[in-house]
Amino acid sequence: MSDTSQIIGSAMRTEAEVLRVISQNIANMQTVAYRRQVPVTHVQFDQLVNASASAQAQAAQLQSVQLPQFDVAIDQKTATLKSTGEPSNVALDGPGFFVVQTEQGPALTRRGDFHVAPDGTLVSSSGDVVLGEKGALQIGSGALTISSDGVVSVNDSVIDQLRIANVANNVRLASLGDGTYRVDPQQLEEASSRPSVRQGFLETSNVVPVNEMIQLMETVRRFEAEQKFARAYDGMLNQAISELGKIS
Amino acid sequence: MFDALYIGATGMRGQQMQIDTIAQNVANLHTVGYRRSVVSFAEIAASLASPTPAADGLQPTATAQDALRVLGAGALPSLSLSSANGDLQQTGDPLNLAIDGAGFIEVVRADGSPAYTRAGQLHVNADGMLASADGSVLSSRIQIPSDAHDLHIAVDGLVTAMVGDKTDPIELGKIDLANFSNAAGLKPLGDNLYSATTQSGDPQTLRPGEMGAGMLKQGFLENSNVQMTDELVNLMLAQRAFELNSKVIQAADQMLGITNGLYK
Repeated sequence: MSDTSQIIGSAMRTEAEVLRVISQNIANMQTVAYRRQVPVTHVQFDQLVNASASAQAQAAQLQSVQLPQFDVAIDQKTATLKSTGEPSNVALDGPGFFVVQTEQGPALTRRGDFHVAPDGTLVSSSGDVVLGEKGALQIGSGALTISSDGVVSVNDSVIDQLRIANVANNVRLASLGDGTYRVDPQQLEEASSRPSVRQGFLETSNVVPVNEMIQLMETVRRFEAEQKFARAYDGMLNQAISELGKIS
Repeated sequence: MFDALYIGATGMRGQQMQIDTIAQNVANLHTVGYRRSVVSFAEIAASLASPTPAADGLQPTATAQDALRVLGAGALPSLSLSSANGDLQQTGDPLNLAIDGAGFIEVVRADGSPAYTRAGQLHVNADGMLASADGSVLSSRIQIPSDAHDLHIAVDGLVTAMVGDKTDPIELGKIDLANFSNAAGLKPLGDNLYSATTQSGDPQTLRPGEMGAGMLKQGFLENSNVQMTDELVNLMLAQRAFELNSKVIQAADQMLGITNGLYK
């Protein structure tokens, strides 16, 4: 009907999206190596005010209000490690990713709760083959040891080294679910300083419950305020319709 | 409308499963050869658009950029077994057998299907066969003569005994161990028995002490690998996480109420 109600509607829809992000984070509070999602809203400012456009076009653009875009970023902060004692569990103590082979090509993950598949290869929790520098890692049923520099040995004989990759900070990672991220192989960088690999440990989720609860409170209150705003606008419209034309 | 309601529900279901599992583990704190179950969570994400790889297969196309936006859809809990070994406890009973290291003793259940156990409370059944506590015969089918005494099980599984009034021990058979590439994927059948699954892979029969298999220890039993302190910490965490997920559902409900209040 009008810009104002559109803006309020958009704001309220955004709060619903924020709530989804918070609920996803809280539901995954105990997911291995889960990365917290962060809600981000941004207005495309260059579209709002285009310096090269004529004054008239600028005025027209300002007239058609750009609604803020909602987006989700991933917080890649490393979380604490917890000991599990399982030989096929590994954690990275620092930035970097394990590389796994998925149906859609190589993917990155920090989830180190690996296990040995029936065919003897080391696979991730979702069943994707974990890659070493020479390809898949054949473990079989032997005793697996992984040193802090990622060297994989079976029954005390070295077979390969875990491949650990990194991406530049500005590269957007596409989540495939289950803690794996798809990435263009050209954007893969071999980690310059390899993080140390800890066998028998898993990385915890980097969700901080306090932050999520505070965000939850804020979201509900913002939503409430937006509803009040909508009601106030409705009251204005009501006044305009029923009072303005009245001759007292 | 509010996906948070459903996402919160997946979280609560997962924590419920966690609490059930902890209860099961604590109840089996003193069960011989018991392996604790572990709940692990996986995040579920739904992509807005299905990722469509370009001709080169890898470079995301312009439309695939939409696929970069992924919606969370909750957490999926799954159960697996801990593969940590319990402490060995000396009992002195010659028919008690513990495995010091990896591996399982294979038994044949009453219906003829194989099962695997680490609870080595053996006994000689009515037919004179070595059997596990639940009555399943060991698949190595070791017959103990009724006049046998001084039964000895060596670390490599060789079973010998003195029979009648002979002065030299007689070899009665050998106990092999079944090793799994992924023992965490075994399915508990109750009675301390486990069965192979597609997750665990097929068993590999090994002599004790060979190729990563454990050694046999006669006169010992393996305690449950449940650690009371770990379970209590996990219980507290699960309870609080359950509460937290319920708060999210409450908030979503409140927001739905506010939405309804838009129009008077």
